[in-house]
Amino acid sequence: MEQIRVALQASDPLSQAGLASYLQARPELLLVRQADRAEAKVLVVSCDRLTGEVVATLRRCAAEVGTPVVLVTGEITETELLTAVECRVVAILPRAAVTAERLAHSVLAAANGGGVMPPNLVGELLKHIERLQRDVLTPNGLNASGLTPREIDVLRLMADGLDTNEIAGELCYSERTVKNVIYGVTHRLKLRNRSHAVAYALRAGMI
Amino acid sequence: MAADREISSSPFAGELFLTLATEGRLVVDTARANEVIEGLERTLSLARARLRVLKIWQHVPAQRVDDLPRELADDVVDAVFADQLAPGRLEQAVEELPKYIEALRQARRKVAPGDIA
Repeated sequence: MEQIRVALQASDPLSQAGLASYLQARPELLLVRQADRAEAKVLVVSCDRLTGEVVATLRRCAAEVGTPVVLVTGEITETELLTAVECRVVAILPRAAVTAERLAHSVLAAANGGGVMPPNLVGELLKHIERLQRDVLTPNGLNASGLTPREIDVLRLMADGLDTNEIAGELCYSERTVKNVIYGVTHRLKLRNRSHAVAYALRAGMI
Repeated sequence: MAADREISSSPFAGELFLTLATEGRLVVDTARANEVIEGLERTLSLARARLRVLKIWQHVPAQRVDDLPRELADDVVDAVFADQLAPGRLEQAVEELPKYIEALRQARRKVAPGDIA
């Protein structure tokens, strides 16, 4: 069985020693010396936080050898996550939860993954997209459903069976405003009539 | 291509996503990718519409909200206020969201070759 060469870089001696012992305990892994880092198939980096210095190291490694990185860190923000991913980090393990088993699993996945990010990391990136959309839409009184809060209110009351007059009374709008809201949403979403609008909103989970 | 982001820069990372997809590092299940693309296209369309409102308002000689129909007035107030809180955010969104969409299209193709939108 060919051993997978792993390089390790930790920000403190204790972490270096602890993680090294985890890696050395696995027969399928071979921990290489710092000087032979370029030969490693996977790089394990341990740090408390993703400081500028750590990022610089990761960037340098990514540019020089492009080795996939398993990052063991205390906490990480969304922005730091994006930076880490950019630097070829393919797995992030929380320091408090790292075990020999988890570390070995991440290293093996990184070595065999061909650089493809694992599903949990892709999931984190997709969460970034969701958050980004909320940040763009919410301050503008919009949401990802494509309906404004006022349109959602009107559709919800329509779904409850209220007519235009009753909706206007409930929301303290004029009847004309309610009609305009309904016209706006049906026209924009190319819906045939009020029932269609309510059905559309219910089916899409908007109301 | 290096995306070359700085840690505290813009919240958008369209270039990074494009890089990840181009290099084959980002692979997303086709159904999930389509779902996210659909949401992004909707958000992009809303951002463009809101940006249009903002641009029109900025070119109105006498900016009096009371002169606008109620429905439009709400949109104008929301747009102007949001632009004061985060200036240029909508412009950034209109520029960046298409990169995410393209990245996801590429990432999806890795999963299902020939499955073109």
